[in-house]
Amino acid sequence: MDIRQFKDVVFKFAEELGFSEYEIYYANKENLEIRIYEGEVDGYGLSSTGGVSFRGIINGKIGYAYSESLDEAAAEIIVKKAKENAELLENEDKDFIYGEKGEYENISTYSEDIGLLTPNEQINMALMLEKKTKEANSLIEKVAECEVDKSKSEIVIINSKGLDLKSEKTTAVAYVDAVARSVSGMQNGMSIKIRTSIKELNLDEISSEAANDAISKIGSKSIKSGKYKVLLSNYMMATILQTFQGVFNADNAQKGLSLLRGKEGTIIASDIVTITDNPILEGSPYSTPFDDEGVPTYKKSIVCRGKFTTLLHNLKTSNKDNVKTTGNASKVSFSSPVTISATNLYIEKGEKTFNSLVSLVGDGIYITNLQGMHSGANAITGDFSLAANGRIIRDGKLEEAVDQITVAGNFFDLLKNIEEVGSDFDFYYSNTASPSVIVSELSIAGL
Amino acid sequence: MLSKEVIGKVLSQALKSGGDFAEVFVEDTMNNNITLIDGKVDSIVSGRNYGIGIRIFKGFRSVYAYTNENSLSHLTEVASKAAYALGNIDDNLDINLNLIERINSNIHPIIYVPSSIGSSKKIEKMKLAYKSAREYSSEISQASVTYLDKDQKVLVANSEGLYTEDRRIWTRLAIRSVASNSKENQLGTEGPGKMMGFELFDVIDPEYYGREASKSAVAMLHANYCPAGKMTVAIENGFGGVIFHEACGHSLEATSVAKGNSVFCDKLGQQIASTKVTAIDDGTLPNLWGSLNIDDEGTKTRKNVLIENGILKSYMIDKLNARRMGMEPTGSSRRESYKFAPTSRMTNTYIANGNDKNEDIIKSIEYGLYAKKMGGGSVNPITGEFNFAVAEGYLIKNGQVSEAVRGGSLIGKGSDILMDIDMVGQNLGHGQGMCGSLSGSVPTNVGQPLIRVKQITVGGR
Repeated sequence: MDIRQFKDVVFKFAEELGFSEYEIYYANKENLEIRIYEGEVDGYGLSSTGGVSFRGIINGKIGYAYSESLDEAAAEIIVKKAKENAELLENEDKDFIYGEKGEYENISTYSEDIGLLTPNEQINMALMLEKKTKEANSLIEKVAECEVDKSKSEIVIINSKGLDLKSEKTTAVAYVDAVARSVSGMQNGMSIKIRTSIKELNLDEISSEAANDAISKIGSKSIKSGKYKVLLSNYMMATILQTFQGVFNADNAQKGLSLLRGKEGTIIASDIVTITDNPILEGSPYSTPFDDEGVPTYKKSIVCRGKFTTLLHNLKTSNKDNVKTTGNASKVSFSSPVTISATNLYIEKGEKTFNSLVSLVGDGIYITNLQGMHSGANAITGDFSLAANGRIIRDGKLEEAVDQITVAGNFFDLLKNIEEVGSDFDFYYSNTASPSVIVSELSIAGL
Repeated sequence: MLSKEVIGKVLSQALKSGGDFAEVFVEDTMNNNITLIDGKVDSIVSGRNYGIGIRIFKGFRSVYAYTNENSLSHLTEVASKAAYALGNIDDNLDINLNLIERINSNIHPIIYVPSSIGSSKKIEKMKLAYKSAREYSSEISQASVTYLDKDQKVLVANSEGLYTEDRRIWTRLAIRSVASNSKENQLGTEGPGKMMGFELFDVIDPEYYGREASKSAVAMLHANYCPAGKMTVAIENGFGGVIFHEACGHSLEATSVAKGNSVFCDKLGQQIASTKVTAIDDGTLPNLWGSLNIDDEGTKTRKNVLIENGILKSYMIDKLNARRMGMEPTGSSRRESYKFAPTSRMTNTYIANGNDKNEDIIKSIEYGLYAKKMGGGSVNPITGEFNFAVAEGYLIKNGQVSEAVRGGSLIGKGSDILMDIDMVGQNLGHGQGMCGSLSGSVPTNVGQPLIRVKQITVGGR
């Protein structure tokens, strides 16, 4: 059955079983992944899947259950399971199902050119990406990974309080991993971009970024341990922000898992740092007019010139703190419960070009790669200790390549120690972005 | 699951564009996740994941398609679309397949299927862990416990005539303890799990793990920052095995080796590690977290000796990469779910016990680091560069474990570190983790006894 027929069956069971308020959240996605290896299609992945999550409030408590099968039997099971789950819940926080008449921003994340792209055209794009990457530099020996993906997806939220919302999204992703070989061995470099339309994927840019990343690592050597002034590339600062974005999440703060609890109004970053959560960013697939509870989203600064202004909330957490929701309710996947996430989270760009940042550093390190984010960084403590690659900066110029080092520090100290914010802002793949920034000091371990 | 008739027709359709191998993977999984925060049940999510994956090979090329709908008409349509990517469909090709059902021995018997145990019983066990974690010390400000069980039924059939099923049941408890002193937080975690049902709680003690998580968090709250530089490091048993998993394991998966994207390509028979290192990947160990009866291509799992006394003996190989490499598959093909094409992955990977006495290992270190608990890590198989986090560390001074240190990480190159393991102890233990790679996230064990690494770069402040 289709989603609306399924909804009718589910809502009937929900009434019968005694739920006072209830909601279904449906997500589906059609996806085509093309992987190329040495001029041939090496991987071709086609999919069409969807699933429904049901949540309902019964006797003041909320229960969740989901299914990837949309038939009558599944409808009955998920309502029954949600009821069992609600009965076992002990958390006393009030949960909400949204029913207000909201004003939604007019933002489109849907592009016609995705639907019009044929599989052959997509294959040719991927072949072109591999070719351009190989030809970007004579030292590029081969391309280890090359992929172009496209998808079309839909979200539907319907509830017993009259909410009936639908949004559609298209994405295009290009990813390439280039291998350079020199006398000192193999090095690889990569580039990845996600956009909402095919025409926004610039293959020339992506191929040269990957090739340059690989080439720049040739002849890398470790350096002496010590404290250094660090220029973090835009991509790396975005990666750090992605890892630590949970600190701004009200749910974490309320559970004692974020050091920003109760710190609204205090200075947490240097005064040239403004961090924005923007759900209406043009061209980003993370933009959305409504959050995963159906609440209208809006653009806001969460750090304004160094001052921390607000956590990100959903209906439950905002009620606990006696504030309005910030429209940041989010489900990690259709089957997850509602938690919180930033939409597009970024450091606002400044005015200095990348080259002038390099000069301003004088003597220090430019960090271009960080590894181990999922294990060497901790949003609860703010600490990080990560493997890194980069270049030495000497007398304001980029010099020899560096590897086999770690960069260690604490996210909260880092924000306070940002000395300069560049103008080279760009979106890559995650929901976070940033220009390049200079941090006054970080610990480097090497030789 | 699906009948031989239906699958036979789907496989035939898949081969109509000249493919030389086709496979159907059906999955029907029930998942349960319960979270306890502050001692209260904070969320319970349960649900069913169901889908079918169709894979076709033509030489070295492959196509993968997946869907939730299981009607014959829909599946033949998906098979056609997938086949079309490999060439034009020739409807005159009438392929008759003879699927022969194979029943696998169950090396991992399950006693209490999770769906037959009420959630309140599961919550009782979680609360035992929570209580002991929270009450360990007044410095513990927060403890959360998550419980998961997963009951996965799979069916694998292919054009070689295979038609076989398997049922996998996993249960895991994870505890996260936060120690605070108003200025900062430190974390301690434990996450025991097995390929078992509710009988997991007959073999693990939730209170023990609750205490251990808090003990770790409190130790780190009082720790100084780890110093930086090259040091001799002793890595404790159990999850310490993540060193081998990242430094070597991924680089021995055909996923990287087959395309020349690994530092260990073309090195069979060569010395790639110190003679003290024997390393094994074994999916047959009964009821362990990373174990399986059959891999996700239907091949029986086995004990694969990867390195023997330092010599490279074997890679971990899946069917598709076996073609590229001209070798046999090793029962190592895995996928997170029907949404992924399978590829070679690890199961239970460990360094075997050696001959050195554990006390001698610590005594031998004049100044260095004792990594008592490791966090996770990652590797770049192309260059062999790896990194991992030290979750709980102590300095070693004059052969004795001394003050606690926090925030350390270990980095290096796989090829170097294997050669630098110069002492291997005798207390083999396994730690559980989720390993992420091309075919998604899969449960794996990492293990080793206490080992000594002559020299490794320690990142710190």
